[in-house]
Amino acid sequence: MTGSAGTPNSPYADLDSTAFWRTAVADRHPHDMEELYRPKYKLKRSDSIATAGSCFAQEIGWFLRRAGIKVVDTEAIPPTAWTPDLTQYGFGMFSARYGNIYTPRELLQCWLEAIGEFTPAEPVWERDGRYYDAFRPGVEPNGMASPEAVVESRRRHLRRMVEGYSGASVFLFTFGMTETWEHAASGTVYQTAPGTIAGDFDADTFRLNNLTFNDCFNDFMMFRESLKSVNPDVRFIVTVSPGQNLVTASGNHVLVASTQQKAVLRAVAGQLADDCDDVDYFPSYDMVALSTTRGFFYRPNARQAHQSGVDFVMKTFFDAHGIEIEPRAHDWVEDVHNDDEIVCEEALLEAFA
Amino acid sequence: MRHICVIGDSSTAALKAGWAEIAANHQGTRLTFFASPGESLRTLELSGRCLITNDDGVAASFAMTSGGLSVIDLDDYDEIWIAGLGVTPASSVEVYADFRSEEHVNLGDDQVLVSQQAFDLMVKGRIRNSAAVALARRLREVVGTVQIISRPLPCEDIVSDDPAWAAAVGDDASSLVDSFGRGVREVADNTVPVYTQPAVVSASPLTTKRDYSTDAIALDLVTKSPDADLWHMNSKFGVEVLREILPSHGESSEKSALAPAPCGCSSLCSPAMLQHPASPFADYLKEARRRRDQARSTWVVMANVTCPRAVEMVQYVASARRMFVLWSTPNAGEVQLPTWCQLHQWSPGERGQEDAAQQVSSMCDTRAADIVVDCNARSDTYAALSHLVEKSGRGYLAITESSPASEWWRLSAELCLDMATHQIGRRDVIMDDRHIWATWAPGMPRADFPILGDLRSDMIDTFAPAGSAG
Repeated sequence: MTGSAGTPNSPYADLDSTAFWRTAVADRHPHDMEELYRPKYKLKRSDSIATAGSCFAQEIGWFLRRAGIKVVDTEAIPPTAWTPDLTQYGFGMFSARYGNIYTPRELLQCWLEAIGEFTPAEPVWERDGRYYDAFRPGVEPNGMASPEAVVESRRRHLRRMVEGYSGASVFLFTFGMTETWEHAASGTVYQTAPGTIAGDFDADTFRLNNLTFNDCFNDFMMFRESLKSVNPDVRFIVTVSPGQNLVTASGNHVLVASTQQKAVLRAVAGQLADDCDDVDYFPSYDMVALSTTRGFFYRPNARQAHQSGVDFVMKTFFDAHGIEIEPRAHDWVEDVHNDDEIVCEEALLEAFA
Repeated sequence: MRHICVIGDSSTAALKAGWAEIAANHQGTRLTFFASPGESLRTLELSGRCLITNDDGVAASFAMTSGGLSVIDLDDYDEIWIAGLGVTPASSVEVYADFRSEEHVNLGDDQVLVSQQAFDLMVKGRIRNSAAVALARRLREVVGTVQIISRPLPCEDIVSDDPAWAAAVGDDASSLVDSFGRGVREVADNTVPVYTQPAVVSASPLTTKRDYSTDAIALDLVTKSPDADLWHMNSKFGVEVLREILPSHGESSEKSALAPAPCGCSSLCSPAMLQHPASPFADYLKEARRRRDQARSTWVVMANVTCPRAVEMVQYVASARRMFVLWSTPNAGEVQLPTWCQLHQWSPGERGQEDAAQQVSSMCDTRAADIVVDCNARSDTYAALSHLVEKSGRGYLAITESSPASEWWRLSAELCLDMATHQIGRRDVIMDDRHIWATWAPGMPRADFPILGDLRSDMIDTFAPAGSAG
């Protein structure tokens, strides 16, 4: 049996060239793959984008600012007061000063706490007489003087987070990890393992939770539904960080564990985009991590994306959205965006290697 | 004739008007003003040894304020003063409007609450990003003496106009001024000294007395500022600021007969020479400041000080977070010291060295002190303090003069403390170097200070000013 044009009647017959590995990948230079990303909707410069996620989301945020797109920042430093050291205090990284949010459970928990639907366990950690916000211990590198100050600072922070998310037209989240540390009795999860930046690890109190596909998918869907209840028009862009995990507490080899985590998160991101019209998947992970680029977008440690990889990924992103990145001389963003200044609490775990 | 170039924003008008009133009393000094409103001076560029602008408005404003010059030829001037251009203690209040530190008294409710370190970084950012610091950094590469005169603080009436100012002035003034001071130390001090307005014109640490903003004038020295203008000052303000600054730059003071260098020895004594790139001190100062900026939480015990500015200066120079001041003057209670200073009266020498040492021991734990500063050194107090330093095993003793509130004193203290902090010279006793000693204590019996005989010969060879007493 043949089709009307005499070609074999196959569901693959009418697919365009991007559907075939040879024409889409093998015959093309990795820098020149067409339509690698087809946005469900085009970003406009009038959009305001709220961002959260792992370290890689910081990179995306910097590029969005460079492109002249408004990135929601509810705890912003006035440009006249900016100094690069402030990145170490969580400023200018995301839409509020929450530091990296590595898992969708942290995102959901933080949001629910912000809207008054969740009360976390052990919200303040101590080290050397200073007190730290257990859910963002890195944003005050030297802690604060009292637990009360930490709690009050967090109350104001979460209020601003709600304001920012409620007014955003797009919410961009980068999935980073599935492994998270939780309070065994309550299920409260934390950004870092107790004892890394502050607090003390007690195996009877805290435990590892390696989130499954269903955990991650359901957590993000719950977050999405909750956010849409206060911001019905918000759309979502999800990505997966191409950075491999620095360490695992799963018992597996770190490479095996990292592969599993990225596979889960990649599947979750894809599933979210497949199921939800308002969720778009941007394949940053695919562009950097897969064999097509032969690993040359990674730094020598084969774990972190090299700046050239980030540049390539973001160029693809903006090209697909029809947005040109205009370099701005003497802009404070340029001043801040230094490859070494991306803040990653997870990197502190290197000290245990 | 010393020729000073004053480059600034609209706040320069008060200085210019003030100078017009007192210039006749300063025959040895000439000031030329180059001013333009707001941030327009960011357009200034270095071309060879000239500052030029492509902005016609700035050029026209320069011509108006300087008497016809639109280009600043740096070789025409001995010193450059930068007025305003974003450096002001008000920076702290501008940050305070949106952020509060956990250490503030008034925490507000809408502001982001951060640690004091984070708050200080924002204030530092304001200073770092100011047009004044940007200009100063460029100028320091080509001229010897550059200083910044901070923008006037607003009129005290601002507290009824602006809630942030009302809260700041009411509750957190000292803390905000301290934040500015730390920011200046970390940013501007690496480049140039920064002068803030004198206490006599201030209604509070953050505001100016109404009397000095009444009938404020514009750069043309004719146009009056509107009554509602709280940010510009009048000629009386300019006079007070210039009176404060000019004596510290070798100019004869109208208020005091103290000469900046009483020994009257060589030109090496002038602060300008000390800071000049060709000075043997220049590299040393630069390195010492760099190291000092890495130091934190220094604890200083300061004895026999007679001038509150000396306390401030030591705090400033030594990055001191804790100071214990042993005060021997009867009017100590009248002196406004930072609240974190512990002040104790003492009577050294009345009952012998051992008793003096005992007094200090009973008042403070000198074992924890990093630096002990003995001002107006006398044999008995020197012996008592050095005995304690010896016992502490980690402190350093600096000896310096404390009296005249002058730039000269600041430099001598700075040299002493840099030496003390960084272990240049002897471990246990740090003498202000030969140069400073020779300058400030020409009549002091050398026999009273055996350590003078131990000064390193290379320091004497290098730093002793020509003709100084041996």
